[in-house]
Order: sequence, then structure tokens, then C-alpha cells
Amino acid sequence: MFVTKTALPRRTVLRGIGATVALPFLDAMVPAVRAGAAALPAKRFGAIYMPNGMIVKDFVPAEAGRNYTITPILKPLEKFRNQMTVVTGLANKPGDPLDAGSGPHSRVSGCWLNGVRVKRTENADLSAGRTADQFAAEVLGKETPLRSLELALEPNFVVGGCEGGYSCTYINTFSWAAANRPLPMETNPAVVFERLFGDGGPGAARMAGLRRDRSILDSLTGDLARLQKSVGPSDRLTMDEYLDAVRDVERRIQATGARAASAAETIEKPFGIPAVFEDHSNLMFDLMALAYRTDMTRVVSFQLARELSLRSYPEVGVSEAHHDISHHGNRAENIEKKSKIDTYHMKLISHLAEKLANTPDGDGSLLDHSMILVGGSMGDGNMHSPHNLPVVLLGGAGGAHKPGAHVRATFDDPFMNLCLTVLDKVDVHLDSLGDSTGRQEI
Amino acid sequence: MKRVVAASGLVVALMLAVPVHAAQAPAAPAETSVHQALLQKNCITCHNERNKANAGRLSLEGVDVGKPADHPEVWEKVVAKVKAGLMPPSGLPRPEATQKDAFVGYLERELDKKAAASPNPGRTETFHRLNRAEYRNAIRELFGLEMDVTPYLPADDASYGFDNIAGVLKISQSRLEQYLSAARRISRAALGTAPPAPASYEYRVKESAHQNERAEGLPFGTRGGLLFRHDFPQDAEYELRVDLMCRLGGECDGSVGFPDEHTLLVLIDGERVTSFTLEPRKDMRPPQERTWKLRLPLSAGSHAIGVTFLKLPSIREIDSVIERFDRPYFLNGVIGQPNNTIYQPYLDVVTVVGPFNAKGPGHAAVRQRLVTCTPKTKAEQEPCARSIVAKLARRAYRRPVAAADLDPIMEVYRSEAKDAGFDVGLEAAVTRLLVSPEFLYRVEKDRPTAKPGTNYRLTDIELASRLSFFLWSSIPDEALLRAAETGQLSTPAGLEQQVRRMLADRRSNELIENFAGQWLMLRNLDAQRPDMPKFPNFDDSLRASARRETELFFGSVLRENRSVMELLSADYTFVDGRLAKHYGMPKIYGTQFQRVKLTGNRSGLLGHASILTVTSRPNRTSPVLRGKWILDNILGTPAPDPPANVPPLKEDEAGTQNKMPSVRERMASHRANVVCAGCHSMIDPLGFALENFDAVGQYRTMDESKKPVDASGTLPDGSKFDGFAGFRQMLLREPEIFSTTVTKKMMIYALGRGLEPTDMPAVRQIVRDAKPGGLKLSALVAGVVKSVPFQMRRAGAAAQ
Repeated sequence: MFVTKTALPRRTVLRGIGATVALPFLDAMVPAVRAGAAALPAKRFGAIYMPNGMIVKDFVPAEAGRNYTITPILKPLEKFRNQMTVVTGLANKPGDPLDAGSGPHSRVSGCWLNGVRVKRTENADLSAGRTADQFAAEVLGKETPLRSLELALEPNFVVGGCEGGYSCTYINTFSWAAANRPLPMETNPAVVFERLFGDGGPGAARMAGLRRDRSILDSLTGDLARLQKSVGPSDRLTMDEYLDAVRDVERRIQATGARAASAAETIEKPFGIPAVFEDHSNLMFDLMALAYRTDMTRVVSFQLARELSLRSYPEVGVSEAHHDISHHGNRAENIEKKSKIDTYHMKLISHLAEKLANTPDGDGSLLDHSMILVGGSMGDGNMHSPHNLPVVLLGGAGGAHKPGAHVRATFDDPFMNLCLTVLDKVDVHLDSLGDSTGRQEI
Repeated sequence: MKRVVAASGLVVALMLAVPVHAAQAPAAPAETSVHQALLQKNCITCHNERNKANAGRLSLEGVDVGKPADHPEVWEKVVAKVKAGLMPPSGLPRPEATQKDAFVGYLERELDKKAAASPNPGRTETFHRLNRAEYRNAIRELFGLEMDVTPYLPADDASYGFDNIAGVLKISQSRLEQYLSAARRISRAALGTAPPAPASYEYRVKESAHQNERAEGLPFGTRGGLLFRHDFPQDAEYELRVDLMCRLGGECDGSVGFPDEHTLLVLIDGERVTSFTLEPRKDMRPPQERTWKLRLPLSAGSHAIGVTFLKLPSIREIDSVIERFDRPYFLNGVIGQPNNTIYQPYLDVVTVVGPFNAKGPGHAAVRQRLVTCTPKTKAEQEPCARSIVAKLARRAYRRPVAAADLDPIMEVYRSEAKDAGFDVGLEAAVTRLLVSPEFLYRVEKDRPTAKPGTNYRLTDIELASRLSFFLWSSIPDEALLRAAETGQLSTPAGLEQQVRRMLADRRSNELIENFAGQWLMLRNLDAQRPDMPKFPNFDDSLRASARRETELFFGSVLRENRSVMELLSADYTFVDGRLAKHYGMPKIYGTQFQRVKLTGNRSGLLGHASILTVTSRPNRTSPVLRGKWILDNILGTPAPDPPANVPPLKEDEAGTQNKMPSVRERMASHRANVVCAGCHSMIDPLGFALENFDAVGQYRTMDESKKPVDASGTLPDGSKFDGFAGFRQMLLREPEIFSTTVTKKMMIYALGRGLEPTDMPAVRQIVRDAKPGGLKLSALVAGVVKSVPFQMRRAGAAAQ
């Protein structure tokens, strides 16, 4: 049974955005925020993750080039085919199994955007590698209040659901600021909203609040230094992390300045997590678009679901848990169900594409100026195979990229080669990343 | 490895009963050769260097069985597997029981002897960030605030099955921003400062909540609705906005009205303050109004707000017919789809907006508790603020504080109070305190006198924190802090008295909620979404009742000083009306839980709907999940990881889909395949034992494929069982196995780190000490508290 077309009451959607808010308010604030912004529209980078592999046969188009036939999983994005690029055949070999028993899901989740084999541990020695989104954040985040924003849809209170020997951290996030610094992903729209726009007081009060935060952070630095001195070298890491966090927040307050104050006057915040999954997803994508549009950040990472996710998808008639069904055992009915989930995820993403395409930004739309990397870290999820990865790129990177084609890469070339190219398109240039061997033409 | 024992370590060693065999002479060569022969005959065929990869990455070649203490990481594995009867695997030759016992006994003795001579308490990270639950409880303890800040706190990553593991509780910019924002919110509420603008707080009915019964805490004769407590910051006017489900509103597609008149009640602190009448619409057209507003003056402080419907007698009959599917957010088998076909109105959201026309912070209990002095002159202000901050800091930092602790906070006070006055300054100071690393982290610094790699005993102050975070998931209370300051925790009697007091205190419910909630995976119930068409009765109230049952049960074993084995064997449990109906128990109604005697099919934890549900798939039982769960949580020997590349099952390749195979038929394929059989012959039979319970824990005699349930099986050690009762008897035969598992899990939770092989002697000691008293669960808790790893710590690399 396919139950996707039930019209969601308009109010339910807005409910997510707050009891009294109306979208026009959001529109109204844009000029206030963007006024005085540079003439050349900024480039935005995004990364959206889909777990548990994908039904490759329903994803990979039969033909390469611009005139490919749309496939079932890509169907929801068909409307944007001139603004998207499909890339197939790449691999993330650090996700390959080496020997028996080595947490395939933790490994692929941890290596998606860094091409680094993660360390098997549940302890303080967590280790992956700095991810592409964070390399982007370092450059694109220079002028924005937030360097980057990390979002997710699945809360992580489920216990015992992670792989033996691997901390749940590896599947709770795919974004790493450094090898030992995983970045948490936020699921609550209210929290995201508050991070972006404060807690909604009038401008003067908000400015006073920022001033106060600054004096609080100033005085914290002293405490941290004191603690730092009193402990051994191995214990200093935590206080280093804390100190860096303090500096980041200070920097953010500085960069926010008056513009957030004007934004805060016109927006009210959302409450909690919407009851309906699709509302939650739409709202989080709305916030992602809003963060780009208000230039609060130019880098957003978004986890649609985590590896091993046990969510069932009654929305598309799949009552089995996602991870279970991904191990389809080559049964046709199971394959069809997994394909439905993959397609549904693309439908959720189409909401973002729509939003970005409809948001004017300088001489074009937000989508024109973006580069959103959509994908997963396994091809065949049944076999935990990090080969033949599904990739869709949305947007034109402000003219640096001409979208519209299906690019068939040399089979098993590193996915990191593509990540390097994608970063190039948003003016972030690296020599290498993880197991990269060069650059992938797109 | 250094063999240094600091002198202070001996003090604790004395507190602990030295194992009787510790003084025995080294193993005689003759004894060693017997064990070596057993290894050769029963183990090394698989566990050798060449075959290691296929044998759980364990080789027993080249390790001297004469000196187990040299390789605890190898021999502790051997002890666990052999003791639980999981090795040698079924079908392979096994040593005689006496031989096996002698072998395991020998290994344990040798390992324990080494530990007694040179204990290794291990080392929890120096900085241990409070997790969400701990932070929330600390705030309640510090301010007496009702507000739940958890939605605004960063979520915690879990390791080793628990979310309080020091090593992975990290900080980052986004987390610090969340802490800052929570701190602002809390200090504002504690002082009763007006928010910068009228704020709104939304309280929402949960998506799958049944709304046809009386909700807990609301008056009899009402139907559904919400009851919540809210902290009102000031004496002021507040607006309550009540929204009904959207199907009643004009904006909803296909919405309908309802044929009867309904009355909506608003209650404040149990008193009915107003009611609204919803006019019937016989034509079933939606009513004009969907939102009701009420503005009323309220005093600052916490008030209970209730919003509910009067229950109509006439509805009752219809209830029984459609009750099963009648849920506001359930349509066509999809949870979360608004149901537009329901014949009566439901509450959706209550929003509290305010304050308006604020008259000041009033006399809210929360403020009075914090602001313990009232400065009359400007000159009195700063000393007053300082005394407030000092009191708060002592509790928040969980230790005596010095001027150096207070000065940076008072600096913030001064810079804010200068222009904006006492209240604003104090609010900033409280905010500052709440983002201090000494509040957000439990800090255990190495003793300056302890050389790197040596052991030292924790101070009483540090011990107090370990105790309160273990037993209460919170900061020490005044009594505990005082006991620590006066040295009472260093005496066995003083320590025991505190443990007893703390377990009796209701705050120890946190141990049940957080420890048992994670060990037994009760928390996962919230995320479990049983397939609606198959299990239409599964809803939020059943979810809540199932969880409550296990919590009450665990609590009763803990507080009534019962044996830990009763967790598996007890012939009693706790049910409310909802759960009784689910279990098929007659004549139990209402939302009150009562203790009931079990007859028949259920007894112990393994018969609880909670556990049976979280170990199932949404649409069917899973003997694999249940088997894995039992291996990990009951037998204490987690299943090995699945192989790197699972070959597709034969029958899958053929694509046989003609009929639904029974669970057992599906499982048979696991064991037909040689790569899978090694583990699944261990895992699956454990799960079969529970096959008489379906995916939501209801008793059944026919399985998903409409075949009679076959709950028989063979354990790896060859013993056969038929059904749950027989299986349970087998688990009870060797109490040491289960009690060791519980102790291990509790140690991880209590220490906030994973266990090392060197921790196992301490675990065995705890079990051994509890044995004469009948393995009481409370004795295991006390044993953890008294153990070397809990009382001591190993110093890390030197400070520079």
C-alpha cells in the first residue's frame, strides 16, 4: 500500500515552525539580513547521508551522459534533472572489511566523507578523520556566524543498537572536525532554530544577552587554563576541546553582531520535534535552506537516518525495520521494499531541492549557487559493500559546475576523488583526501 | 607492566575480604600439565595461530597456562566462555564437568591471586561530562526547578551499552552553545526574571497516545488530555491556548465535526478554573472554532495545568467497537497520519504564553530557595550575591569551594550588576556557574603525590560524587557531601550506611531508570514501532505500562533485598489495567499498578512485554535478536561479530517465495550454512525458548506462519529444554553466571568506562562476597561501591 498522497494539513506543517509564525515573516527578514551583502552570491556546500546501502539496480541509470533515462529511485528528483548530476561506480575502500567481525556499518558511516578507516574502539581514543564538509567549513565558514551546521532526523537514545567494539558515535554522526572530534548532529528543530536566531527577544535585549555571553566566556577561559595546568598531558585534550568550543562561540558572537538581532525580531521559534516524520524532515530542510539564505552558515551536513536504523516506513508501506530489510537476501519482495525506502528518501530530499530552487539568491537561485552532495557509503547494503556508491550532486556551484548528466566513473575509483572535485567547485582546494588518487571529472 | 602498589592501595585492599585462596602456593607443575592437556584436546584444534581469524581472534598457542596472570586478556575470555557453557561449541568433544570446573577454578584462582597481590583499579577519564539525565537531575537538586531542560541539551553518544561513558562524552561548539542556552533558561527561571519577551511553551499530546481513557493524574470521568507542570517565572498574567486536533479545523481536508456536545475542562493545581463547550455539529461539518484562549493571573512558581474532556457516557459503547483503531494519529495502518474520521474532538496542544503585565518575581519557592539574603543597601549587594554563589558553587562543584573558584564568577556578577542591578548580575553569575567546567564535568585529578602508573585511593569528596552519580545519576545531596567532608565515607560502616540511605531514597529510581533502562534496553521501547495492522493494541500507554512493569519489578528486587536470581525466577510482577489486559489477566482495571502473583507462563524478566518487544522486529519475533540479547545480558558473553562477508543464504538465491517460512525454517538456514552455524547454533536456540511470546510479548501457541510454536532447543553444552519454563530452570542452575553478568554491567555503569580483563577479579570478588547472603541485588550494588576499581584509581602520566 502506498500512502504518500494524504494531504498534510497546512497547519501541521506550520506547527513545526511555531505556534504563531507564518512563513511570510521569514521572507520579510531576508532583505534585512542580506542587505549590504557582497555582490557575488556566496557558494554553499551541503552533504546529505542515506544509510544501509541502496538498491543499486533501481538507482544507476542505464545510460551515461545527459540523456539518461530516469530510474525509479531518482524519479522524485526528476523535476531537477537539469540541476543535478548523478555519479556512479565509485568506491569507499576504507569501508571494506579486513577480517571477520569489524563493524561494517560503523566503518562505512565513519569513512563516508574522509576516506579513512575508523578505529575500532568504544573509548576516548575514537578516531576517524576530518571530513570534506569540515574542510569546506574552514574556508566557507570564515565570514559566517556558524562555520557549519550538523543536522539529523533520528534521535540517538536507542541503546544496544551499535556494533560490538565500536562506539555509537561512529554511526551517530558522519561529520568530524578532526580525527578525534566527532561533531554531534542535532535532531530538534527548536534547538537548531535557537542556534541560528537566538531565543527570540527584542533586539536590545538580545544585544545585551550577547554582551553577557561574551563576558561569561571571557571568564571561562581563566578557569580552563587553571584546570589545564593541574592535569597531565593526556587529560588536556578534553580541556583543549572545551577551550576551542569557547573560542568558536566567541567568534560566533562577534560575527553575529547586529544582523542576528534584526533577524530575531521577526522570527519565532519552532517547538519540539513534529509528530509526523515527513513534517520533521521538511522542517529540518526548511531550516537548512533558511540557514543558507540568511547566510548564518554556508555548510550544512544532514543525516536522513543513521546506519543500522531500525525505523520502519509505514509511509510507503514498509513495516519492516530499515536495516533488516536492507539485508534483503536477494528476495524480490524485500528488494522492492528497500527500494521504496530509498525512493522515499529522495522524495524527502526533493523538498530541499524545491526550496533552494525557489529561493532567489543574487542573479539566480540558492540551488544555482549550491553544491549538495547526496549519497550513502554503501552500494549493496545486503553485502555491506562500500562499492558502486550512489551519488547525486544538486546545484551548479555558482556556475563552476554544469549539472544535468549521469557520470559513469571508472569502476572502483575512490569516492574521495569526487569529494575533492566537489570541494574544488566551491573553491575549497585540497591536495588529497583520505585514499584519493586524483580528481574525478564531472 | 609495572608492579607497583602505592601504600594507600593497601588500605583499601584491607577493607576487602582477601580471597581465601589468595595465599595458596603457585600451581604445581602436575596441575598445569592436566590443564595443558585439556587445552590441547578441547581448544587448540580451533584456537591456534593459523586459525585465529575464524576462532574469535583468539589463539591459545604460545600462552602459558601455567601463568594465566601474564595474559589476563586471553584467559578471562576463556573463563567467560567455558563457564557459560558456550565453549567448546556444540557437537565438539567436551571435557567432563569436573575437569571443566577444575580448569576454570584454576584459572580464576591464578588471576585473582595476581590481582590481590597487585590490584589494578583502572582509570576512568579525568574529565567526565555529565550526561543529559545527570544534568537534569543536578538542576533539580540545585534549584528545585521542575522544568525539563533535556530537549535543549545535547544528546549523548553511547559506548558499552551505556550513555555515561566518560571517554566518548565530548564537547563541541554546538554543545557548548546548548549548555549556554540551557544555563540562561535555568538561571532566568530560578530567579524569576522576566524573559526578554513573552515566551511560549508548547505541551503536546503524544502522537500515538490513546485519548479515550482517563489520563494519569486527571479527574475521574474525564477523557484524554494533558497534565503537566510549568514553572511560571513571575507574578503575572499568562495565556493558555488550547488547540484541538486539526481535523476539526477548517484548514483540514476531509475534516468532520462530531454529533455530541463536548466539554473541555481547564484545571490549575487540580482546581477547575474554566470549561468550554463545544457545540455539536449534527451535519458533521467542522466547527468554526478550534483554538480556545484563556488569560488568567498566576503567581510565580510551579503550577500543574490540566486540560481534558468530560467523558460522555454514550460514547462508551462505540468505544469497544472501534477502540482498537481509534487514535488521533493513526490512519490506514500508518502512525503519524492524522486520522480524520474520528467522531469526537481530541486535544492537540496546550501553549502557555507569558508573562504579560508582570508584577515581579513574587515569592516563588524556587527563588526563595536560591536568594537567601535581601540586600537593603547597595553596599550589601555584592556580599549577598557572593554568599549565594558560594552556597550554590559548593553543591554544583560537589566540593568545598575557595575564593579562586568564586572570583571569576563574581567578576561576571560585577560587570552585569554595574548597570543592570542585583538581579541581573546574579542571573549572569548563575549562568556562568552552570557552564563552568567544574560543574559540567566530574573531575578526578591524579593525586599529586601518586607516581604515574601507581594506584591511589580517591578522596572522600571524590567518592561522594562517584556514589551519587552511580546511585542517583545526580550530584551529592547535603547529607552525603557532609558525610564526605567529615571523613565518614572512609569507614566501612559509614559507607554502608550512606549506600543504604541512598538506595532507600526515591532518587535511586534513577538507577533503575538509567541502569536497568539501558542494561535491559527498556529505553528502546520508545523507538520501537510494532507493525500497527498486526499489533493494533500496541500504543503509548501500553509502551509506558510495559516499561513501568520492569522498572517496578527491578526496584522491588533491589529494595526488598531479594536475590538477583529472582530477576529471572520471580513468580510475581506488577501490572496495571492496560498491561493486565495485554497479559490476559482478568479483573484488573485502571492505571494503578498492583503486585500480582504469576501463575502459568510468565515469570521473571524474560516474560516481560518490555523485553520481549525490544528484542523483536516490528512485524515478527526474532530468535536471533532475543538470543543475542540473552547471550549479552543474561549469560554475559556477547555473540561474536558476524563474519566480514555473509554469503547469501541458499534458499534466497533460489528465491523461494511461494509460502511464508516459519521462523524456525528461516533459522534452520543459518545453521545449514557452515560460516553461520558456528555462532547461530549458539544464538538461535536461546531465542527459540521465548517463541511462545509474540513480538509485543503476548502469549501464543501459533507463530507468524500459523504453525504451532515449537519452543524447544538444545544449548551448546548439549542440554535440551522444552519451552520457556525448562529454559529458565537451566539459567537458574548456575547462579554465578547471571550474577556475574549483572555485576559486570553495573561496574561499567558505575565507573563510566568499559571493563578491562584486569577488572574481572574485582567482579568475581563482589559475587563471591554476596554469595553467603544469597546473592542479593542490593549486596551486588554495595559490592561495586566497595570494590577496588570504584574506590581507587591509577595515576596517569605526570603533570608538567
